[in-house]
Amino acid sequence: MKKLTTILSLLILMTFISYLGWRSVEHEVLLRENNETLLAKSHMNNIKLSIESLLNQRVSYLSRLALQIDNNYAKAEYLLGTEADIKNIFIINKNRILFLSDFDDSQWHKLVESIALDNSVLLHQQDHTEQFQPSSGWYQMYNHLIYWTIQSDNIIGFELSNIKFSFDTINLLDKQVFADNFRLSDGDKQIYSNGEKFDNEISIVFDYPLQNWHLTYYYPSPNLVNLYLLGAGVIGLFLIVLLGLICYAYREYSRTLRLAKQQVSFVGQVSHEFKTPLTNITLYSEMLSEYLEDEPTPVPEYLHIIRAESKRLTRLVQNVLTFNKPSRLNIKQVNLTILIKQIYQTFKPILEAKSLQLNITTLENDCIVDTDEDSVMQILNNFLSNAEKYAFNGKRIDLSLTRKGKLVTITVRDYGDGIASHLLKQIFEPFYRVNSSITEGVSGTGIGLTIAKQLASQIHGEIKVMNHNPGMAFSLILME
Amino acid sequence: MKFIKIFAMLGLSICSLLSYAEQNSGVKQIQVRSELSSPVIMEGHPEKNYLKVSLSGQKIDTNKRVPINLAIVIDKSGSMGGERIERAREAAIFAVNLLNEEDTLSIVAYDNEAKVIVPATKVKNKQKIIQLINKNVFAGGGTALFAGLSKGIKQVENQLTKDKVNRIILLSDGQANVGPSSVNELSELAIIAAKKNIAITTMGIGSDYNELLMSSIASYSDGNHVFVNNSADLENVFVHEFTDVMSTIAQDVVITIQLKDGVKPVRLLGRDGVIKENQITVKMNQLFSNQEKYVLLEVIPDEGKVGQNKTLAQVDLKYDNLLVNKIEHQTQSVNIAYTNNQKLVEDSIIQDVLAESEIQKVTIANEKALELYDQGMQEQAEMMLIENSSRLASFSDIIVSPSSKARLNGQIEKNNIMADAVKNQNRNVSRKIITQQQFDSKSNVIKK
Repeated sequence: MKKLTTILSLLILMTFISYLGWRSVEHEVLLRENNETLLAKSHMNNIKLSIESLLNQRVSYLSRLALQIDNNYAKAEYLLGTEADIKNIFIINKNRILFLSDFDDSQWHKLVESIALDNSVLLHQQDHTEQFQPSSGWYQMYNHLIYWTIQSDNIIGFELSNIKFSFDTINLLDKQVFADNFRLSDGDKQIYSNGEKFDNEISIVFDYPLQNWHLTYYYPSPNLVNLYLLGAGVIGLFLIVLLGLICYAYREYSRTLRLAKQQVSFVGQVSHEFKTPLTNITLYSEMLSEYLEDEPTPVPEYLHIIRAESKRLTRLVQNVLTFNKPSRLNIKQVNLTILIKQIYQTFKPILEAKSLQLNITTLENDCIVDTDEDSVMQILNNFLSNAEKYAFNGKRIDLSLTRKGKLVTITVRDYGDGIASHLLKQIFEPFYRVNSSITEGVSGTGIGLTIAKQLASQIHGEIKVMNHNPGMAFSLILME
Repeated sequence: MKFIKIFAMLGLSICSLLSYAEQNSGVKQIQVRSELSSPVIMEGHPEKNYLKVSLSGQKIDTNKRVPINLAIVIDKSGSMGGERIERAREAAIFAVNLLNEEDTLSIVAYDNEAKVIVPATKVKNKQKIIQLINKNVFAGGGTALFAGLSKGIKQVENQLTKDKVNRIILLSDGQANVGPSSVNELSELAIIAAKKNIAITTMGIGSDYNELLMSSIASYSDGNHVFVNNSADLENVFVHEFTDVMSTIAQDVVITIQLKDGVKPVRLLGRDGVIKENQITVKMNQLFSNQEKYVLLEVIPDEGKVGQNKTLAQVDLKYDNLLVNKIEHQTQSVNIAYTNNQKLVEDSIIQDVLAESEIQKVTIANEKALELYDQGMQEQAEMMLIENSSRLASFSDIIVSPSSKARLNGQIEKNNIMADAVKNQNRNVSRKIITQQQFDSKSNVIKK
């Protein structure tokens, strides 16, 4: 179950990373595409500007011609014959047509007549304010593109040759500068085309009087395959590295775990083997001490030491075996108040021997909990023996039983040197011993708290450690 | 003896005089003649009269020729695929080989878009140009004739000088379908070229091109128009074209005819021009040494009185003489006399002019036949063409001048070709044949 969640969360993490990576690749793609579009737009505007400047050249050129013509119709006639840019010319004074070329073209004729009838039509197609009336400009009707200018009360109009303008445009665009991919059209008529057609296109419509002209610019999509490949590669590499690291860490972890297990089982087996000789040592040392009681000359305390140490060793061995084998629970109603008192009675003399004062600070009455008495006892034993071993310089140990709602808390509080906060979690790990002055010279198995924690979880309780100043408190919390 | 001596001296002097005259005419490479079909007319009855102003080139030095500034514009649309494009390539390469270092050549090829394959350069490295042609002229795509021709004009314009023959050869086998494509639009482009003194020769290949479009381009820019039914003939057509172009002796010819008061201009026959009140202006782009080009104006003289001899028109000619690189200017007067003697009128008729006017009138009548043909009346069209032909034949009977007879026979031949085409060829081909023949007639050129 745990493994599954780990794998699942790993997968989620990897998906998330891939997603983020992919998003940044897409962002880059968008950026590049945007750049391409901007570039294409500037190219297109360049083309448009140069065509418009071609038209503006016409304006200055035609204005100059208008000055030359003024009232000289022969000059107009001459210009018609020589200037390829001019298709037709008219000269209108108020409502009178003074000069009109090309009588064959009835549409042109009608157009000029309509201008003569109402000169203001020339202004309609242009933006201008009421106060300011332009004295020259473009007029576009049907296929006729007219540049008109007012010259001493006469309106002189030139019809620009569309064909000549297209011709000039083609030859303008033929220059190397404009070697791009685009199509230029007048309505549906293609004027000029260059290069290839690509998927991406942007269009632009020209300003008046070339409003029928439009330019379509084609540009290729940036080569995104490489970018996608690169992005995918980087993401993939990252994921592989991540996976490798996790694998490595997992292997290391499982190796340590295996080692620990081996250690435990080894210790367990050894401990089991220790049991029989220990029992014998204890038994015979007791027998020997009974036998020697009657001796006139008192034997030194050696035997007593042997007995005590053997007992301690037995206890240790018992601890190790308990750790290795989960003990069988015997759940029943336990009166914790009585249990605490018992413990108090048991430990008080032992602690006093080490000049430690054991006090019961709080004791709830009739605290009855469904639990395993032995386990609770063992946990508290562990707490107290730890306090005895490591906090004897605190001179004082407080024992308390409190109840808060359904929670029953048994706390052993010492006044020793305590443990640094960041190490608090590790003290529950098997074979961990805090490396400090307090553990020096004190023999310990390193699994006491581990066993306590195991037992607590077996009886659905919880162990809490808190740093107080001075000393610390170990609490066993049980549900009533 | 003395007599003999005197005779001999006289003879010598005459000889020297003659040779002087010959030399004089030799220097004058271009001869101008202005004549009326009836220089003497009956009083009080002004009838249609024809004024012919002609320019004849004289071949003088075959080795010396005017440099050419040529652009070849090749249609490489899909329809040109196969043999046609191959022949077009060969023809272009042929042109490269004909030209020399003095000449300028550019090559433009177009399909959906027009590309300048060889920018206008002096023909020095022929191998390189040929390589470029072989590499770039391949068929495929649409027919952007306008763009192609525009670029061709630009290429010629880049190297445009008055002392060169500026010319474009346009090869196409199809209808223009990309860009401005109407006859009017392309005619306007041809006029632009003409204003720059660039002539466009159009060569239509096969039976699918737009003959009206191609002939209009040629006529408005004063180039040639040729129908090449079989692409294998392309090289021959090129040879003809180059013979013409290489014999160019005058360019930018402007003929102005100022009619005197009372004389009414009716129309120009064949070559087109501008008639403005009493002034007629006709432009010719170039004059070859092996031809006579003329303007034929139909006029109605004013009523005169017997014995009166007055100026009918003032002819003013201006042209660039390419052989001496000089603008030449010439003025001639055309006189008309009035009589009451019918015999005198008949005797004074100039048959050459009359014959040309007849040929032009038949050409106009042939247009009607073409109209009938277009309306699907094939037989009527054929009949009309034959009718026109026999009209010329009967007219030819009263003509005595051999050169005029030859000209009339030429036109009779043309009419027969057209009638034959109408009868035996499919519509597409015959229209092209007729267009070319009519183009020839209308260009007012007498080959020598």
